[in-house]
This record gives sequence, C-alpha cells and structure tokens, in this order.
Amino acid sequence: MENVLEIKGLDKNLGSFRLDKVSFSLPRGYIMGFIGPNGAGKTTTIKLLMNLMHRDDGDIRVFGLDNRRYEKEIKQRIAFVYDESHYYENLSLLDNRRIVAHFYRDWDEKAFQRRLRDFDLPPHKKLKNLSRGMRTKFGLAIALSHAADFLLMDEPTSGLDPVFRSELMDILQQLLVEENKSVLFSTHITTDLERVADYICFINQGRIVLCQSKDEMLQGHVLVKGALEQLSPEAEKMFIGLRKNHYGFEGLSADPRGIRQFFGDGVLLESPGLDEIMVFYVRGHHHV
Amino acid sequence: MFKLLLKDLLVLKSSIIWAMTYLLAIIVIFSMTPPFDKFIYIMAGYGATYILIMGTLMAEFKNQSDILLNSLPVKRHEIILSKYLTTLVLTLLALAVAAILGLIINLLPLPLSIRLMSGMDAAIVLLMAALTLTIVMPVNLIFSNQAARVAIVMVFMLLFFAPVWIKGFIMDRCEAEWAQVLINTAVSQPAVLLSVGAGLLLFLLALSLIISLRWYEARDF
Repeated sequence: MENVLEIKGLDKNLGSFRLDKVSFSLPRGYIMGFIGPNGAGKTTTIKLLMNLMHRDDGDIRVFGLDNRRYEKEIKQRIAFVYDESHYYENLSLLDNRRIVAHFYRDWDEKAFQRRLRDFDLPPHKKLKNLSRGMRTKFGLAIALSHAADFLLMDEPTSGLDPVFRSELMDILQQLLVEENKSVLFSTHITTDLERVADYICFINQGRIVLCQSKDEMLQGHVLVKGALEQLSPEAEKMFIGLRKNHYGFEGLSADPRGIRQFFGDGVLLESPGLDEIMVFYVRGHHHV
Repeated sequence: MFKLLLKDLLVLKSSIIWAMTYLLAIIVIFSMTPPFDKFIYIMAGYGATYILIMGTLMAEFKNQSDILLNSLPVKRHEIILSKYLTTLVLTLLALAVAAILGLIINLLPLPLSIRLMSGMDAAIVLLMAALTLTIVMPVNLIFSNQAARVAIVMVFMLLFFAPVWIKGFIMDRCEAEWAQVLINTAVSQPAVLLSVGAGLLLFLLALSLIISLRWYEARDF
C-alpha cells in the first residue's frame, strides 16, 4: 500500500517538551486520527511536517518526497486547516481567496464557489465578522479548492459545537468516498473520529503510544468493571490503566483474551471507546 | 514573489487610501507654509511610505500570518525578499502619487503654487525609506512588532534631528581638514556625497536583508 505520509524517528527538543522518536505512516486514501491530550505533541508534529518548525532529527516523507527538499511541490498538494484562522481578518472572504488562490497551480474557482454555497458562507463579509465555526468552514473551503491529495487538519473542531463537528465529519467521509483523499486529523475530541477514522495514532508526552487501524485498536482493548475484592496484585498487572473507588474498579486492558481467562464471568466486559483508551493510557493506575 | 507582492497590496487596501489622503493633505497644507514648502514631497512621500510600512507590519502581526504564509507553497527566503521588495514598491507608489498630485495642482487653476517634484526629492525619500527598512525589518523579525513600532519612531526622530546635529558637528570643526573636504564636496559635488551616502545605505540594507533572511530561515513558528 502506498503511503502518503511517512514519519521516522522524528525528534524535536523544545526545552520543557520533547518530541521523542515519533514514527508513523498514513496509507493513501485513508483518514488517520492523530489523538492525544493537550500538549502531547500533535501540533508540534504537524508543524514539523509543514516545515513551520525545524526538526532535530528524523525523516519526514510526504508523497514519498523529503518535506524540506521538496517543500514547494509538496505544499502544492497539501491542504491545511488549523485550530485558528490565520487568514486576514480585515479582508473579505473573496479578498482572502484572492491572496491564497494565486499560490496554487490547480486552483479550482468553481469548487471554491460551490463550497461557499454549500457552507452558507457570505463571500463579501469580512473574516472578523464571522463566527469561529464559519471561519473553520472558510478554511475548509480554501483547503478543498486546489485539488490537494492530502488534507491536514490540526484541531479543527476544538471550541466548535457538536452540530458543526458532525457536519465536518460528514464532509470528510464524503471526500474520502468521492475523491480518494488522505486525511490526517489531529484532535483531543476523540468522539469526532470514531465515525470516520480508519487509523488512529495516539501520542502522549511526545511519544507515540499506539498507532494502528481503529478497529484493531478498539478490538484489541477491553474495559473491565468489577468489585475491588476481585483485584489481586497479579490481576492489576494486566491493566494499562485502572480506576478504583469505594464501589469497585474500572480498568482498561490490552489483553482481552487474558482478561476473560483470568476473571471468567465474574466481571463486566465492555468495548472501550477511543476516549476511554486515551484516558486510561494517560492516567494509568489511580484511586478516586 | 509577485504573488506575495499582490498579497501585500490587497492587505494594505485601507492603508493605501489613508496614506494617499495624508499625502494630499501634506502637499496642500505645507505648500502654503514656508519654509516647509521646500520639503513637501519629502514629507509627503516619506510620511505615506511610513504609513504603508506600518500597515503591512500590523496586518502581518495581527493575523499571525507567518503561519499561513509558510503553509503555502512558498519558500521562506521568498517571503523575506518580498517584504523588502514591497517597501520599495510602496515607496515608489507614494512618490508617483505625490508627483502626479503636484502636477495636477499645478495644472488646475487653484490658488496654490507648488513646485514640481525633483529627482533629488525622490532620491532622498528612497534613501529615507531604505534606512527605515534597514532598521525596522530585522527588529520586527527578531524582537516583536512592538519593538518595530518603537524602532520606526526612532528612525523618524533620527531623520528629523540627525541632519541638524551632523551639520552642527561639522560646522563646529570646520577648521579640521576632514571637515573642509566634506564641506567642499557638499558644495561643489553634492551628487558625490549623495552617492557615497547611498552606497553606505545599500551596504547596510544588504546587511539587514542577510540578517533577516538568516533569522527567518532558522525560526520555528
């Protein structure tokens, strides 16, 4: 399978934070959710990918090309939507479009006008007079109007309401079905990804914790709920994260078969969501 | 590069209108106020350039546009080169508008009498703009937009007071051999003196460009 993105051994030292040997790849035509808590290293990784930051070590290949050497060629084929709009606030949407459109060889004005209509965006209104959701939609309209093969989204849904987030997920799904684009979607709101992502890459404290297909990740973990007396020191070792309170325990294990053999029918087993997987990996064992 | 220049002109739409209004006001007001009438093109041209440079810096700062620009298919050195080039184009634009306004005022039957713009006016405005750019651009990149605003005011003050101070400094030492040479050259060959000044300024401008390029290339956003 051809990879649209390959990151190997990526290092970046920012003093108080370090990105440590980050490696993962994204096959062409798939959506990858890049998840992790705030400050985990998602934005740093994306900035390194976009050459907004300089890496200390490692290798980044986009479309099989080195992202520094072939920066301009690569950026012609990458569309980006960031958590904040960096377009010019005092200009109208059309003026902002005039600025950006010149930089792309394959700017598709018809596609842009169609997106403006689809997203109900007022072309002559100044950007500063739009809501956060509308600004994100404008960023998306720009991103989808220059025939990019790879869509890079850094926390595009943070601070947005569930209706807009759901709408955005629909657009992404449609893109994938109709246009065979690849998407790297960074977020800490994992529920956004459950519906659309094919792969999940989970980063915490600058290190990749898990990176696999979403189904493998969900099926490879089990959420266990039971009484405290069922927990022995030996049993606790089977959990990645464990939450105890006066009424019992709740834990996440990456060994569903082992858990079933160990506990039998004495505990409640559930399929975890991405949110639970992330929380248990980040927080580990703790008492409430 | 041309795309970045177009970007600056679009971003500056409102500042350009404001700068041109200022330009017209300066020409009209000071054409009737001796001895300032001798310097109207310098005051108007440089003032308008100042407004436009500040407009560009403010717009880029306010929108954190470095992140947007560096995400587009454009190299970092092109962004910096375009910033310098934009200032030159804006200065030429301000000079052209000032010259045209002067010509129109002369042609119309108005109760105003002003001279036409001379080559020396244009040369002095270009040198003043180049000096401003030389100092303000690296300061803006290395420190902050706030520091750049302070720097641009200081350059403004320098351009206002330095000539008088330099003149006083030279006249106080007019017996010295170097001062004699300088005064003689200024009187007999002002173009030579201007060329030396321009050469020195070009060297400083090149140094400023190199510093800006190196800083920007190494920067993390």
